[in-house]
Amino acid sequence: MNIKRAIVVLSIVSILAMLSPETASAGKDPEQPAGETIGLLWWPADPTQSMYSFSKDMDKCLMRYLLKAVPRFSLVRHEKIQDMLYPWMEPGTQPENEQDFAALLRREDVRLRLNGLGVRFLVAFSGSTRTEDWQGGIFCGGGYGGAGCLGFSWADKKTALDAVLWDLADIDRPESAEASESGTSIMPALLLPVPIPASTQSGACRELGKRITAIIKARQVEQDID
Amino acid sequence: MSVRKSTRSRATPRSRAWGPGFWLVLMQMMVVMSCSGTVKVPDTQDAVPLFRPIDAKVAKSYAAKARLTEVETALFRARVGEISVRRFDQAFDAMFTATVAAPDWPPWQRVDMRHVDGIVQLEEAMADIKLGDDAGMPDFVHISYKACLYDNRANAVQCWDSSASQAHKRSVGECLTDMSVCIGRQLEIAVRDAVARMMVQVENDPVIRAWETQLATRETGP
Repeated sequence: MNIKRAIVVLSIVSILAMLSPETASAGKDPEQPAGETIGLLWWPADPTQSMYSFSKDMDKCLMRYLLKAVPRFSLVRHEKIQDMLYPWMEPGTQPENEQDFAALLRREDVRLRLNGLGVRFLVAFSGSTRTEDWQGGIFCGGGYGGAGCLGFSWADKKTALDAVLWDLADIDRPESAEASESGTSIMPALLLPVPIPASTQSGACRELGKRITAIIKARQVEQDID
Repeated sequence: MSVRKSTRSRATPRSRAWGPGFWLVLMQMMVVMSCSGTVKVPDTQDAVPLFRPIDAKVAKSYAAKARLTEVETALFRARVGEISVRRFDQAFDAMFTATVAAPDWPPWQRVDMRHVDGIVQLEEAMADIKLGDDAGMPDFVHISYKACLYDNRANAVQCWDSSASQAHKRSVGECLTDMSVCIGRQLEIAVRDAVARMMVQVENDPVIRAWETQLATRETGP
């Protein structure tokens, strides 16, 4: 009976976890264009980054941050924008530089598509996390009496992110933002090695989100003055 | 007291259902599920692809060599032909102002095709899938296509080749429950990319734009 209950509880927890956190926190459907929208796009997409897992994490994180920071905007995530701009945002067809990107945004069919989603700002983000080799040492051994490890290891980790923000009302003035965060992952071993990874991605993402928010707010002030 | 007894006696068969036998069967099912089946890839995408359409009515055809392509590994089968046909069907619809399906039999080369301006045919769809392992060797997917456009007298106007690859290093336990889902995602990325590369090539192909102009001149001519 207890096992059954546990399975039911686990299922409910999994379903809740599958619901995107931004939907829950913002209390509105972020994919639904209501008024002005910010589109997120992973560009330049790195084709060697298999399955785009890094971009998915960043997409989620930026989305969560921007929904709180600029609540009057709806957000459209990377996958949707990539689909709407197909075939122009695949690894083999994406614009090579900012000039090509601007040329793509000037295409009438592209503008119509983005306007249909209500996109005012397009945030093209990119980046990576680099982990250095592990330092220190852990020694493991075993015998008839048992087995275990002893030692301490660490590795430096750095996440660097950058973004170009395109205001579709003013394509000729893209703005750039960068953010990075460093940390050290540690692995103490006392009987068993316990890895404690440094969380650099969320810090870098928050910092980038802050900078993007500042640019968007500045653009809105400019617009209000005009 | 008697009530308690009867409650206990009803609970016993239920708890047996969750006994070691149940878990053994469940584990076996999971292993079988992870090691068999067909790779599933999303059919098409929601939005119509962006393309400056070629002003022509064409018949869409898929050569058997492309349609029936399959890759079989020890763990699963990937119906690459089927996946590709669905993707190209959507791409061809976006590329031309009007499309119809070419006859299955007899082959379109043997029938009068003057009711259309041309025939676009997916000639080849080739795929290579190399499975990696959990120790760091990545799973690898490579896709290549060849498509041709013919005029309505079966003369080739232009052919295009495109290809794309995807390599993915599994994280621990990532593909444990269903290997075909992992490969399916990679296959989807590679197919999307290869079809996109072909669309971009076609859109920028001066031969096709010249053919389009030629068609327009013929229609408006004396």
